[in-house]
Amino acid sequence: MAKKPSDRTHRSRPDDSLNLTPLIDMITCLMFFLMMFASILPVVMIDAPLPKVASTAEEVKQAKNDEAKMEVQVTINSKGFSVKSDIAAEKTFTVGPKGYPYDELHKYLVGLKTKRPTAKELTLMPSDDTSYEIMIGVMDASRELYKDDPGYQALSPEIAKKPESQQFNRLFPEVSIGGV
Amino acid sequence: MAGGGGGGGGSSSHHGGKYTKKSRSRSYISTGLMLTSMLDILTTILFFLMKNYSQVQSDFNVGKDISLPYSSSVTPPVNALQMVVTQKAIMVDQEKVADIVNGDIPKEDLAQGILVKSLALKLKKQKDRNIVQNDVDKKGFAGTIVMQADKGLQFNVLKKILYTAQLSDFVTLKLAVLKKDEG
Repeated sequence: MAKKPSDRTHRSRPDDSLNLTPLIDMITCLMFFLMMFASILPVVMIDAPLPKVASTAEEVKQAKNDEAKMEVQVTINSKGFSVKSDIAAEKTFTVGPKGYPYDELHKYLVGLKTKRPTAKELTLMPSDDTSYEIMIGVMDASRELYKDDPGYQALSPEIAKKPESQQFNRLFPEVSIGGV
Repeated sequence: MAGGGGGGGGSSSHHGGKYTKKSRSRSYISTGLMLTSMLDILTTILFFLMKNYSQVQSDFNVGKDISLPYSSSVTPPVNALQMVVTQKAIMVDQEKVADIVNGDIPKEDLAQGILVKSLALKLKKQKDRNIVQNDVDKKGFAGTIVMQADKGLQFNVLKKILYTAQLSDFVTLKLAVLKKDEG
């Protein structure tokens, strides 16, 4: 017996669309875990070896040999910076309205490096009231060459973001904290 | 699903009681939630997170109550003894060893006015433990220490801490800083 048209319309149609729910579940879980770990702040390191007390004759001899290298000393105080080296007269940089003159210090250090390309070491001599942030600023200014500096080697973006990039464009990479 | 059935039922009265082919071929209206655009967004975020994930060091925890300075350095973090110096305390290996009061270390915690006694004791213990764990002699001890210090701290405090670390043979100092965003 034939059905009434109103009965026939209640036929269920198969859902032929793609079921995305499991995929969304999976992506949401992945996102949760990635965001949980990726939210950590991007921490990096600065090497700042402390001067070791020479205790043996060999260490004393080695320390004396090290004195033959160029000694660059940056004194930091509330008035600004003062740079001493054995190849140039003492140079002072005073604090301006924009704060500490990191760029001027950097340019001067580039000049020193040009005169003695083998030099790598620099010693910070902060005064007691120098803040840690300023010390880090001086380390940044003295560690590597900037893009517009003479002798700067352009690196590809992939290499520039990696630790291997530290082999290039070095200024005074071995910064130690003195006055300790 | 519901829309399709309802459409067919309503059509019989509209065409004077006759059920026509035209009414059956009426377009199917889905009332389900449209997830496609949401999936697009989630996939984009997922790719972004996965790309950045390799650059993030997940095993380095920044101490609480501390504001690290920013630096242009790109050296990745290393696993070593952690020393955290906030505006209020000195902590080694997540354990408080000395207080900082009014921006300085109290005199009773110092020896010779510069050596932090409790810190020296803690570092000595750590050194001994390190030597035993790694089975090295005293010369083979690397003495690596990672210092997280608040950017507002003055050198007056830091030099006492560094002097103590130096005397305790922790001379390979690494300063933890936040990577400066160059973009």
